[in-house]
Amino acid sequence: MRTALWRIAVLGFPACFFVLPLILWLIAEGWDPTILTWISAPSVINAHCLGAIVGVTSVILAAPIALLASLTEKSRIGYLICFIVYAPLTLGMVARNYSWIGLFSEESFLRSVGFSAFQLQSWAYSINAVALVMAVIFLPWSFFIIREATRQISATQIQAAVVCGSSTTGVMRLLIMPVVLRSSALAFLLNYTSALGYFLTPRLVGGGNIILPGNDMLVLVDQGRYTEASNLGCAFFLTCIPGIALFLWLTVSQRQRFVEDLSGNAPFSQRITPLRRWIIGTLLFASPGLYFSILPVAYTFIWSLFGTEIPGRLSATPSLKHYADFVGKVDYVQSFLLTFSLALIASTAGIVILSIHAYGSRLKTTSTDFSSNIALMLPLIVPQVVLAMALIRFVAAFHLPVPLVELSAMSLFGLPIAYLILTAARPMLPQVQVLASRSQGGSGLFSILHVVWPALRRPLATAFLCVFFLSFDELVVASFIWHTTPDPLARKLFYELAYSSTPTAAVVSVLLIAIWTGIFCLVNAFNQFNKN
Amino acid sequence: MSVRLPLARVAAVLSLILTGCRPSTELTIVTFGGGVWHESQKREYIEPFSKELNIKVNSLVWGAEFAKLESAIQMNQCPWDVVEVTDAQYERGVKLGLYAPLTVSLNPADFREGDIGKFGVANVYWATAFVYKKGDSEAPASWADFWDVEKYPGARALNDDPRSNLEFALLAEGITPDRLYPLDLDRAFRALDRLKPHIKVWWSDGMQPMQLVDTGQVRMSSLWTGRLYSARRDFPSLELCWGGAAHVRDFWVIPRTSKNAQMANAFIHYATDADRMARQVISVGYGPSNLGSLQSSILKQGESEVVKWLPTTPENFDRGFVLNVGWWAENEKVVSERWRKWRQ
Repeated sequence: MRTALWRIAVLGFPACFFVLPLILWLIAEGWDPTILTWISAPSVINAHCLGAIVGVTSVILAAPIALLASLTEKSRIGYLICFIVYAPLTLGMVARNYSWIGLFSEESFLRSVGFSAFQLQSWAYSINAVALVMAVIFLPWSFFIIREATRQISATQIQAAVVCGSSTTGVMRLLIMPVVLRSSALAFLLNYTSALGYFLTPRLVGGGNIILPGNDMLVLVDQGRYTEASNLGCAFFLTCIPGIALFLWLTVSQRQRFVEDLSGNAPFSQRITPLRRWIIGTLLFASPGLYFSILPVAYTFIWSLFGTEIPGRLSATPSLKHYADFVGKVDYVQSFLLTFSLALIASTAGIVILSIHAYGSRLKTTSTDFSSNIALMLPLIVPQVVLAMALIRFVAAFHLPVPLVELSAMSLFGLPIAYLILTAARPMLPQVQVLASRSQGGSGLFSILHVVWPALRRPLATAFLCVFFLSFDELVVASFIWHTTPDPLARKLFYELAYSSTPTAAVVSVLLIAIWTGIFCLVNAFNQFNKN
Repeated sequence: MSVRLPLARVAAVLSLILTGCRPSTELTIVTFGGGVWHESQKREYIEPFSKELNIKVNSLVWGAEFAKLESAIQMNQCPWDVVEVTDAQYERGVKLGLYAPLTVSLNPADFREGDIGKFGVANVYWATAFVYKKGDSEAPASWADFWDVEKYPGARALNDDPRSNLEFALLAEGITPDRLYPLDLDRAFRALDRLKPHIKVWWSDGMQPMQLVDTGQVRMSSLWTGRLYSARRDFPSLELCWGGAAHVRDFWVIPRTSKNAQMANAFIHYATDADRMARQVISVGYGPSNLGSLQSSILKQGESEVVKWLPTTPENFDRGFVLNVGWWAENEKVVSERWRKWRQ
């Protein structure tokens, strides 16, 4: 009974706003066998190969940074690393893609920042460019997952190993790498599944040279061929199931071992001083992901504020007058506030659902855990175009308020990432304390508030921020379903770029970076003040 | 044209009174995109219309996602009264019975053939031409030159859409614009086969062609002409070739679910006035569908720079062709599948 309640609490949301619309739509649209001619081997292979390459690259780029962040936690370097990883998220999805187009086009800029060795100009409009940009776009998610995992590494174990004469390599190989590897596998799963249905970067950065099923679905939808679009989405989804199921099973079945192995709770960054300098130094040099993360932000900033000659730009170059004019644009302020509010609600709902999930995980069996994994990951695997189409019909059929659907879209896409971050951090949850609280008469809510939240404070905060920032990138569903005013910010920016070349989008990007940087600095200053 | 507006207004108000309905105080008008296009529509049509009739007009934008419009109308949930749609969406919507018939009276002599339909009126012409960098001793003048990679070596870029590209291929083959339709698909794809190794980018976003040519990544690219007009000061070295340009129009339509059809008709009448259109195109560089706009004193005296950019001036229009939407509506499915396979 309790397991069933827990399942409903966790799975109710995806079931209502994901599974149900999808099933209803599939039933309504039926099946057209001619669509099988659209499932071409090259596009399916392209999608899976690109997904795998992006998944691996993103993890390789993120893992050293995550380790570095764990080692330098609460220091200035640690804050700087976090800022560098968060910064691209504030730029917005469309602006990020355009910045990269600019970077690939502009030799002198790359040379001036020491990147000429990478010969990135020769990558312009190629699959290499698409893979790199997607890997960098997914890097923050990998970073957050791996970082949460590395936070649980037991300082006691490391100290014991050092005292017993273990070398740095030994510590890395036997204590750190197993944790990094498991979280890397989770991050890979997230990147791989996200990349399968992705279409914006291949279309813009790839110059239309890489055709993926997501692009085909958009073409079909554009032509009003919804049945075929849904069928194509489902057929493609079927090609993804075996690999993903196997991967999920492996990650779930591997979990228990680490729960038992890693029982320490002191941050290892504070206890491994003899090794720290060496590891930090090595990781700093081995972290190209840091430089790739900051490049598009720096590029947008420099071009928007100082440059007029950088090509590949978002639009015409903004002048100070554009910034001044923007202040009076009430519609943008409304869009920002609306997106901000929805993002806030989506991220709060996300951590509530995940807290319940974490609390109830003491009841889990492998099968329930597996089903929750599948349910929470599904929205990532099914291409967004298909989900958007299903949601359109769902909204219209049940007369749902449009903001609610946009909110559910934000939550659906953010939840899997947040879930994986929490999964990576799960060993931090003291199940014994939860059981003790319950056996002493504490209610479920009491246990969540007084045991789960304090124990999972950090990963939940990270998950909250992830869902929050990801909500600002939600574009597909917003484009399909929205017909009220104001528009969500991502959609407004996309239209701004698609239909005119005014510098407004660039102005917004720079202002967003400035706003988030300000907030980031304030939070850090507040933390510092508290510490003092 | 302007004398008809009061009549339309009177008719709209009278019909509402006679039918016993309370006049709705809100009209929702939906146009494409944001930026300059939307701003110009608001400034020249929507806000003055709202002031003159003293009604509240909501001005929204959309990205031409037809599925959204279709779904909302079919479910009787569409809150929009006037919508700007593409020519293909106009054809598709008419077939599906999505639009209300227009009651507005317009003078056919002011428009080109096909611009005034039972369910919609063309509001703008836009064109796809090609762009190159100034400096060639012999400037390219046609799609045949675009295809001639020996005379003009270098990479090319085209829009990732069979519409227009097949026509361009046939023009490069020497077919004259008046004999383009029905398209000879085999011949068009053969011509595209020749150019395919030189096409570096299949662009999908309007800003890309200018950036590609300006940075020298490709030598020539097709582009939407209005985009270059908007960004002409940022890309002074780029030159447009109007030879063989594809002209496409957008339409104003009224969803059949609109509860303010009379007022919506009045708006369409208002927004197709020659002088108003002339004022609007000054900021966007697209072609007004009302031919009277080109004779308007606003275009002749005002920022006459815009005139050479307008797809509907005789000099530019006669060098190109109008995309045959009817042919595309019938053949789009087959052609797009063939295009997709060819692209892979």
